[in-house]
Amino acid sequence: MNEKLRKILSNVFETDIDKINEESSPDTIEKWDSVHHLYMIMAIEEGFNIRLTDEETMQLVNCRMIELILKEKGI
Amino acid sequence: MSYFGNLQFHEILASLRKPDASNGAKLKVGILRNITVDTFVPLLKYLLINEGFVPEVYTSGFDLIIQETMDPNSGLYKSGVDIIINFIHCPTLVPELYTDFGAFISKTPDEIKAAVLGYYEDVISNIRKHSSARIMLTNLEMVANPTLGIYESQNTSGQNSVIESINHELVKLIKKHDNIYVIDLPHVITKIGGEAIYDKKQWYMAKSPYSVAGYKLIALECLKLVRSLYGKTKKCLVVDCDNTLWGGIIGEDGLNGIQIGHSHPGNIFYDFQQQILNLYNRGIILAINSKNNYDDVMEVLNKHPDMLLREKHFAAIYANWNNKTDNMKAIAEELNIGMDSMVFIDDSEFECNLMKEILPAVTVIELPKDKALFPTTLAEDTSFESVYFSDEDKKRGELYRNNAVRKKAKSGFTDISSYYKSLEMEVDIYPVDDFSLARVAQLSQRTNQFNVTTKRYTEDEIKGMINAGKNSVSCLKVSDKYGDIGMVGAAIIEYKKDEASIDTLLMSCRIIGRGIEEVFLKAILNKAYANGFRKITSTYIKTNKNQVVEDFFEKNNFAIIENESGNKYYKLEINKPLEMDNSNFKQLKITL
Repeated sequence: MNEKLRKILSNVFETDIDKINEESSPDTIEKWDSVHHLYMIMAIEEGFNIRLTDEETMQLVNCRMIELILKEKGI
Repeated sequence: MSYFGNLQFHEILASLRKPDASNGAKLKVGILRNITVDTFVPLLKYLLINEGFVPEVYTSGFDLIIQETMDPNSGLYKSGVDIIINFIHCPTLVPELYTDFGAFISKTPDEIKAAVLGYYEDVISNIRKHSSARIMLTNLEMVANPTLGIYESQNTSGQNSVIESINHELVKLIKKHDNIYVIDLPHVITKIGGEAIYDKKQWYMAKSPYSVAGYKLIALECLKLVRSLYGKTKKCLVVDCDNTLWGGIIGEDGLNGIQIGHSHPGNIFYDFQQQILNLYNRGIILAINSKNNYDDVMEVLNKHPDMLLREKHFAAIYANWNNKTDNMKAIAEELNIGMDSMVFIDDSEFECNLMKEILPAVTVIELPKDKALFPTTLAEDTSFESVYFSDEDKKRGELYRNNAVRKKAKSGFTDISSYYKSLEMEVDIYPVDDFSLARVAQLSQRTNQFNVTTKRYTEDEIKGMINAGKNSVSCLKVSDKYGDIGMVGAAIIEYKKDEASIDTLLMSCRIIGRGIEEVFLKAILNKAYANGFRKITSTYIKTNKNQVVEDFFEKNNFAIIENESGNKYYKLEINKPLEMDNSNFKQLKITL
């Protein structure tokens, strides 16, 4: 998994970085609520200097999907 | 956005989770809103913590501004609140001004105005029934794409015209109350740009209209208000000279070689000086802290035709070869301003880092590598932001030009003695101590006019003299009704076998001509007398700056032994303590 992404997610979700993996999702991360979901989107956009479309944003349901979308953007 | 230390949003979130080690003042902030402000809250907290506060933030329920302000038991008032920030999102509150053009044209501008201002008035009066907290209110942002587009720009009754006039009326409204302040969104948007402030996706997803960058800037506006309201506005700007006030190095490039004026690149420095002059005109005290020959700097200030800033604008000019941190301490002492009220601006990374390291209370602005950004860097700095601007502020620069003010007073008196008395001078003459040692050295370094021998000493050299036990070092401190003038004189007497010799006698030119010179001289002579010396010797060593003391010893009854190409050697016999006339002083304290 992208290390920078893991760092961002661990900061946003107040979670130990070791606990962030491709399987992470709102089901496995306690803090992944609606507010932190917003934080996550902003942090990813800012951190990778990209804009996510409205549609892409709706697909960010777990870490695997986030990675996939970032890969599509060449990250 | 250096206020966020170049941290990204996720890093700011992480930094807030570190255990709170600050023992700063608690600041309870209540946020009322008709939008989602979750992005704003951590940004505001970050800024407040950096400013030394321990923030406690309460956020109202969504779109419950009226309900929570009316209910005395609401969460807003429950724990006592110091500041209430109102996010009144007007595109939501008054869609007729922003999105619903049909509604806009079905009403008159006055009807819309009355409704919006009535809402603000309700919020304010609701809060004031239950709380005297400081209130901050967002005003109305403009419409980026008014329905009538370019047609609107040709008329005075369009959406943006109405918005502007409501904002204008809003300022009048808050002036009717105490402690209410506007968070000016059009101003913020002018800075960051109408496209950068919004995040349309977050708006549609979560009713959060602004981008991270936008919320950062709004948080910064709140911080400026908090700083000002809690007395944290800085008072004094201390500037470097070479490659800061002007381009180039005066010591190397000379008066004609430095860059300042109307053509490039001098015009950058001209604009930079304009920014500094603007600060001066709003009451910020200016000082110079430069590694330079004093005379070189003064030549630029007084003789360069294109300088905007002149000697008269600076309350203190420290151009010497001392450590800049020592100069900073001296400036703080001389102007009687705390380090935490001072801002230092310099192009040198080394000097800036040293200042941060040695004097962490000083705010340091390091100028960017790109000189074209110098003026904006200072203009955007928030250190001097204040919600006040008084007549006193307008005059402060003048007040700090002590000499000018006191000279003015002098002209009203027919005899010098009553002028002296009117100054209510307090003179303190005392032996050097740890606190004054550096200042004595500094005075010896930079005093050129009233300086009989112009011997330059370092702090260590003076310390060495004291330790050798063959000298007495005396200090002179003066204050008057205009304020504390500080330690402005020093003398060193060397005790020889059967005579005491005046090695150094100097005074700052700011206090020459007030009758203090004679008193200081007599005080150190009496000290020598008390130590058993009856024979005093002294020297005048001529420089091209110290004509003012050419005849000082003659006037005080010394006899010339020798006159060698302008250098004069004197002696004086004393057989009883010299009498001092203290009638001109409010207080004369001698503890030698």
